[in-house]
Amino acid sequence: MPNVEGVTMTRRSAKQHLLWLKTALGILGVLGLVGCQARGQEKVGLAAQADDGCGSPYGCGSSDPVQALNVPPHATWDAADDAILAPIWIGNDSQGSLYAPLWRGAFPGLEDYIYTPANGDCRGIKGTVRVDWDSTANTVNILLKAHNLPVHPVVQRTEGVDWFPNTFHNAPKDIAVGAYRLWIIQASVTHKTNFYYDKNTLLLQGSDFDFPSGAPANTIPVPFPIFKLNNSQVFQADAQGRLSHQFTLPYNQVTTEGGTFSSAFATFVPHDLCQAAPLQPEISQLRPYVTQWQPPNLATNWQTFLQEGIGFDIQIDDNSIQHPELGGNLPYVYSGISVAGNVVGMKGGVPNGQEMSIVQAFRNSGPPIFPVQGGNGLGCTPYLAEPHVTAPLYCQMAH
Amino acid sequence: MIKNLKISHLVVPLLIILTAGVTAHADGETDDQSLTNRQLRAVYDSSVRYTDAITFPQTAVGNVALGRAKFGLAADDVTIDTSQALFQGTSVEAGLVVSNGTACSSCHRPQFNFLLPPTPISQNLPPGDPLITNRVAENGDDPLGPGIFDTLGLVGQRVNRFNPIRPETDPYRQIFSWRKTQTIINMAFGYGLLTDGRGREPIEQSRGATFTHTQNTDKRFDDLVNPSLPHIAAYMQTEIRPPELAALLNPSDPNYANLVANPYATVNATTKLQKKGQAVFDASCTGCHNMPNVFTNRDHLNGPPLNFPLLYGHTFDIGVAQKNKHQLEFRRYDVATGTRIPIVLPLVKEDGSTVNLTVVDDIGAAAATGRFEDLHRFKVPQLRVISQLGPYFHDNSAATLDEVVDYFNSDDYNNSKDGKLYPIHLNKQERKALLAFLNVL
Repeated sequence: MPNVEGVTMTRRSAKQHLLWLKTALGILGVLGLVGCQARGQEKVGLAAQADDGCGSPYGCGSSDPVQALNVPPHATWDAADDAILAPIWIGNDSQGSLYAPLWRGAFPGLEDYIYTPANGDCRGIKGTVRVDWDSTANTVNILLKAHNLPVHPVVQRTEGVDWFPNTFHNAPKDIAVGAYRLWIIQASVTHKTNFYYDKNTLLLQGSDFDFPSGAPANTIPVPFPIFKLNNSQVFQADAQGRLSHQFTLPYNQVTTEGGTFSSAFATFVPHDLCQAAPLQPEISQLRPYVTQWQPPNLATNWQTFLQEGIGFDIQIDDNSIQHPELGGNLPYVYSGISVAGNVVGMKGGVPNGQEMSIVQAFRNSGPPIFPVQGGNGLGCTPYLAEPHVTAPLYCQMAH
Repeated sequence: MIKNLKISHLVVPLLIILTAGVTAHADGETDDQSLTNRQLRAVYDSSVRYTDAITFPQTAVGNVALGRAKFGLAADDVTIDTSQALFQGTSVEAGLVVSNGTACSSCHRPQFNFLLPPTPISQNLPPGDPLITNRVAENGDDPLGPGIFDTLGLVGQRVNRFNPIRPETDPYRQIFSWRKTQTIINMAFGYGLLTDGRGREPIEQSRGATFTHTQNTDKRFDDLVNPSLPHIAAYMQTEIRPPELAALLNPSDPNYANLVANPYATVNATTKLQKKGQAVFDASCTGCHNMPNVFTNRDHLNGPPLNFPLLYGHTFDIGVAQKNKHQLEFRRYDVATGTRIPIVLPLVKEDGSTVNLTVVDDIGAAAATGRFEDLHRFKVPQLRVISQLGPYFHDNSAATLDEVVDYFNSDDYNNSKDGKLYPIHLNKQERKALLAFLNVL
């Protein structure tokens, strides 16, 4: 039973791995890239178990996403982008690559508005993300592509219907001059921070991020999971509705694009503790909360990202206002207008037409995916993702 | 004559095709779709970033002595003592949570290697034991429950029972299965717990077990169970056999490197037959049972378990569920009408399409993930003291190790989805040797 750098293979799969390797090396040899790509083949693992002769479950054509991952990325949309259905990984924590599809509605935050084309045709919306990391070169290269999107997206939300005022996430209701931004989300629920609620009103006052010197007086501390958000600069679609945005971050200190900040943090918590059923987030009020942008020296390395379960989301952002002091970021952090995303840390990712249920995934109380409301076909409609805007006043209920 | 020949040439292949079509359809696939489904399954399997590093991020931290007491055992680790055991109390959320008189130790009995007594269970327990007299919580309203438990040692489970987001009429709330009680021996080394691997780590697993075995309602009572769960989990992870395997949990232990490098360092295969069996095992079984010296599966997501949605470990479809040897019932029992109603479960394929599957057998991990590609998948059990841990498989469908080996040597296994990837074909000598080896584990 050969064991290559942490990947266990049976004798059968080892033969297939060898066949795959020969195929890949042949292609790469032609391209003169053997030296720089051979490192990525040590952890293909399961992909090599069930192929149809060329080492790829997708088949052996020119559109094969597995083979596409073994050559430098194409900045423009190609056949592999059309073909890819699920994340593909190669390499290890130090050096490797990821290639994944991004689907409409696949990984929004709670209360996010899901973008829908004006013509109600969501069939063509798709993105892909390609990440190549190398700790020796201290680089994390990220290439985002998408197509069939408006050049100038406009979003109008209705208060009380698909937009709710939020002191702790002051995102704009409408976006008149829109552009796009990629978000990298650490999916880990093991990071927690204290949230403080007024003892008398039970209303949220803030978190440790708001009160760095300690708990404010007369408050109740409640720990909740918190998620790290990193992002790109905003970018626009070309005249054909195609997105292509590439940027590089340092491996040892993964910041926002441009390096102004390490990240921001977000989560979904009760703003009124009275509306929280103890230890039952599924039936509680859960509303967005975001922190301020954090200084760049707090940035963690890419290995941390890899091991905490990564998600991606393209969001529509406001391109009409500039905040030079924020280095291209915006004070409200994220807009809450999701275009397409995925959870690449989950086996299979999120399939097209499905949505990751953050609450169910966190609780492990049911399948973590459920159908996108209205589907991703013709006649698709905008909707809010998993809204928990209000809940019963549990604190007033008799037990 | 010529005409007759033509007719027979047409009819026979048509009959074969039709028969094959019906057979395949029972598995949720048609011949036309099988290639696509196989490819999608491979796409699904290749999408995960596993590591097989011998590290255990799922290890629980807690008070072992307190956990043992909450588990329902005395300090001697043998005597059942439920005086401090979990399973009942007053919950702010659910009010008085009434136990059926059992504790963890009721089903995980030390004298039976933390398994249930042999079947029929009623004949191997003292009269009045709550495991027999009060099984409402476990069985719900299903009249088949007591008999299946007594004669087969299987417990009815609804894996998504405590999901308040989905309505009670949702098929994911209704889906159920009949599963064996698993030993806690060497659970410290498993990536993914419960037979289908849906438990990411032992606290989650303990919580699920506690809810399932406590009361016949769907109301959660986390405030009651949460404080105890880390301690129970910490205790369960101390049940390690042989004890020297504990070195695997600690990379700084002097014996860690030896246990990792030598998969059989703690296995006492002394006879020629046993040694030959070890070689057979190495050649035929370690594609899945590849954790050195424990022989569970070592693939897991590369990070702590709670950083990821399901599934944390690697599960396999070896065809046992589809065989449904005991002809178990998988239609839900409708109390109002007294009839059985099929459960139709929408499972999502990797290409985003949905298959509405009429459940006729134990669908394994798919019930928890909602993924078509997870149909009939279960986790790989550990194999130490395996000769004492029968009956085997998730549904207790193999009474002896002989039956287990014969199953893996059969067409049923070799034609299963993962059997095709890890085929096993043993001759008589190899079979005999493998059994000799398994008996010394």
